[in-house]
Amino acid sequence: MTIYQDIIVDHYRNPRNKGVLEDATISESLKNYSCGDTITVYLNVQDDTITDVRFKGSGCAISQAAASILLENIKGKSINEVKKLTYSDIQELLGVKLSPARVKCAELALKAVQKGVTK
Amino acid sequence: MINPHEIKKDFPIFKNNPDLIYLDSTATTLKPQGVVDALTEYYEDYSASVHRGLYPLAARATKGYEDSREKIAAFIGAASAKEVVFTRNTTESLNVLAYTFESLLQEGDEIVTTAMEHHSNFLPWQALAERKGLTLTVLDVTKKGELKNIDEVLKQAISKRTKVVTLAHVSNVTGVVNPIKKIVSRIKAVNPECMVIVDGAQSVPHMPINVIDLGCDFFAFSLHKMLGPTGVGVLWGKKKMLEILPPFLYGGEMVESVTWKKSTYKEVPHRFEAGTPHIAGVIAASKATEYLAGIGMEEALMHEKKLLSYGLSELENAFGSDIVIIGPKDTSSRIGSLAFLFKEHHPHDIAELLGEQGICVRAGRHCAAPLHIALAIQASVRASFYVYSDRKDIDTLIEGLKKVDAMLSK
Ligand SMILES: Cc1ncc(COP(=O)(O)O)c(C=O)c1O
Repeated sequence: MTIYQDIIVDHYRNPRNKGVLEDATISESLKNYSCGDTITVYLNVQDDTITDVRFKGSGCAISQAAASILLENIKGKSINEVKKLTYSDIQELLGVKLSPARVKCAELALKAVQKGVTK
Repeated sequence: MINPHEIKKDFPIFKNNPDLIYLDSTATTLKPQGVVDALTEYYEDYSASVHRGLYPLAARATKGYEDSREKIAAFIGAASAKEVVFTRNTTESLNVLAYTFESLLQEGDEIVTTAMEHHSNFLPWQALAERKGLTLTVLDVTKKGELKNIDEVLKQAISKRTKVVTLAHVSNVTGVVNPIKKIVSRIKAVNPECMVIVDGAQSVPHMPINVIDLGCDFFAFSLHKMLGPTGVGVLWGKKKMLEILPPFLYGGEMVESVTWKKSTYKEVPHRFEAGTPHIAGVIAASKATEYLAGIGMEEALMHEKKLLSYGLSELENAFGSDIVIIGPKDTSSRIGSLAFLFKEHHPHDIAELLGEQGICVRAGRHCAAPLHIALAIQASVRASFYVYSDRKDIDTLIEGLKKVDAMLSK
């Protein structure tokens, strides 16, 4: 089975919420040094709820698709809910089990989001 | 002329994986039946320790081990088998040098290396320079990944303070071959005392090598990159140079006489082989060099260059400027480690999607971050060839790349 499931290819080709959020209350960048993937996430948080999301980045299809899928998913969620997310939630959203080498790519956006909201 | 179709028959992995397209021989090569058999034979027939036992099995193991040293010494043109030290791999050979040199160098001494090194010939020296307060000079490369203005640069970089120059014979990314003989003579003309170390991990497997003719003082390589088993490397050094170095690991096998106060050590090479070695591996390693000698290294090199030319022109025909080759396109000064970029597709996606089609290539920085930094690229895809590679491997790669493109193009 290919790890490039339709949902991943779709979000890679047509990323949702790509861009900069001018009125973001939180922004956070992370880089995956081994492969050069970069992600910057922008969140607008009002009363503990994520009301708007954007991301910028470059890198492999897995890292970029995972960012798009994750952000779409956390819009409307509370900070507490977001803090509790783990890699297994990402895996569920992507619908594939990745090799350890690619897990780092897939969890980059989540790490950026969680780093941003715990600051 | 090499017939890869016939050669493939000697490699059991192709029987077990009939559709395998293996294009990662720069990382490690496949193993012929004779090598696999030699490993098994040792474990099944005479698995005794070397250099100690007085019974016939141990004598057979010792003879196999030392015969292998003779054969490998002959394969690289060493003056004597005493100059061949067995290690685990190139990385260990180079680290042995970086650690044993430590006691011979002083603050302010200079080490010179290049931007095209594998990490195993870069990090040990960077760390040594840090520990001892030495100056580490890194020679830069051109956009094609070749050393810049060698004559000029060496004139500037080498002085009486330069104690070590360490460089790759062949790059594991671009396949660029450094003119070692010329470089050594330039260095020695300025400073005859300067030690020249050559990382031969990508040269011995792919071309005829004569270490004496090269003129360097030390030369390191790994047998697993030339049809041999993993876990066996060589540190070759001129005998009088090896003799200057203190032991690195202390323990059994390397010692001559021991008292409670002081001990003396065996002569080279055994002084550098503490502990029970990879006996089966060493014995099997000479089956690998015998296999290569049977083919002929000139033949092997020619085969690889032909495949490289074919690969370069087929990639160009199929994808034009969508493929960017990392390294020179002129095959006269390089061999068949073919690194490239393909459109905006990330190398990891390319390698993963090729892998799903049974095509094995490497993606990333290939343990050569300094080169990727010099060329300002994040990562690359690398397809590499060996004696069993053929045109079909390249054709399949190109078909595979078309599928990758269809999948990922926006
Ligand atoms: C040029 C070069 N040097 C050193 C090494 C390290 O070899 P090993 O991993 O066998 O120690 C390699 C292999 O990747 C290489 O290609």
